[in-house]
Amino acid sequence: MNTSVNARVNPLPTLLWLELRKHTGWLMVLGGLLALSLVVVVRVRQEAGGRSLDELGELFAVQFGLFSLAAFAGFLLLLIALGRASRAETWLLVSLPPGLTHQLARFLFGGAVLLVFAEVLAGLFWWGARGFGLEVSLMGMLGFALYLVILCLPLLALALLGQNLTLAYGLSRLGWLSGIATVLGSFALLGWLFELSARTVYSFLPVWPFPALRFAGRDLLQEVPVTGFPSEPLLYALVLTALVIVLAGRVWDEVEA
Amino acid sequence: MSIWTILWWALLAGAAFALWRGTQSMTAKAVMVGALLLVALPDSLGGRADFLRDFGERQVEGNLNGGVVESRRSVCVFCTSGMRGEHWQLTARFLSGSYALNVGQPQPYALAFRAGRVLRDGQALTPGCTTGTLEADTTFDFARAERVNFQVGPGASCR
Repeated sequence: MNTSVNARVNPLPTLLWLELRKHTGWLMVLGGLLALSLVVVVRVRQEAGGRSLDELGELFAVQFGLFSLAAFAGFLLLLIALGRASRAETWLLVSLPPGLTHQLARFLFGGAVLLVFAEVLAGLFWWGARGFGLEVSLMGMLGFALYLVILCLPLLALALLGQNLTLAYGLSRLGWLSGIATVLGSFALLGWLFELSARTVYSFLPVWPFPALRFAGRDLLQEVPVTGFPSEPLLYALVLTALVIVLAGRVWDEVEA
Repeated sequence: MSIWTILWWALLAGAAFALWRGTQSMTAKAVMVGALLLVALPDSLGGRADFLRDFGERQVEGNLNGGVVESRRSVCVFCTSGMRGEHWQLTARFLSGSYALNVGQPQPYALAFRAGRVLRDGQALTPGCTTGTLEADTTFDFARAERVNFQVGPGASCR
């Protein structure tokens, strides 16, 4: 009788809320990275003071480098956070949710955090670039951030899978070996993904348009032979992500159930 | 095959054995063995190392009678190129890049493409079939050209 009531309860919101509670510390670190980036942008805008990019190439390069570093560090932190998280506090849920729901909740949480982080960073960069008189379209910049986020999703999913595999090898104390094998296998898999992408770019999907990039009224992307990024890698990334999440859910089912 | 390769594979096989024994979860076993297979066979289809080395590099595509074809490809999809009988032929579904033809003596050529932009020494060609003769060194620039069939040498035609 009790189970029939619980079967109708959707466990996804609860799981998402659990993820939020579990990762508050990590979220604060990511927020700190964004705050530091904001400080960088404000300082750079003060330094630039309306002078043009010709005189301030180094300053722009520094800003670009710092933002790349922030993006990389944030992504790495998120990967570690997802990979480290131990078994969820399922005592809050009366019935045990299926593994796929569980992994999906964790992945959705990670993906949403990554997306917000990347979009805020892209917006800050856009604001900073305007200080140099570099006209980047805001929508294009946000779209570019989304493009990169989609490309990074397989890594998030692989981090989840790796964490579940470590759980699966908890009894035999072979978690370290499964971790090494997962990392090496992920690199090999990404190599294959890169090769497949490089061999089939621009072949069957419409392009993801470049952000409009103008300086002093001149279109900087005029000489580029293509009008956008290839969309085929996104397709492969999404397919791989879905596959890996399903695998992670199955492993979780077999280990925890 | 060097001793190190054999040792590496033995190590991987040992790891696969341990990981197969180490868990009850069938999916975990399959994933781990799959990951180790991916590691063990990094280049099983062949040519990845060559592919990465040639990526974006100017490379010699073929030799005409006394001449040479060099390319700087950015993107070439379903690409085949090489000598076919008397003439050099390049076919591609999609091509963006630059081809420099150093012809020793005048050579007939034929170039067919369906859409996109092709420049012969900076002059745009109309989509469809173009035939002519290359008198001197010539550069062809392709930008998003689709269904390219490019032949240089005796017997060149758009077919």
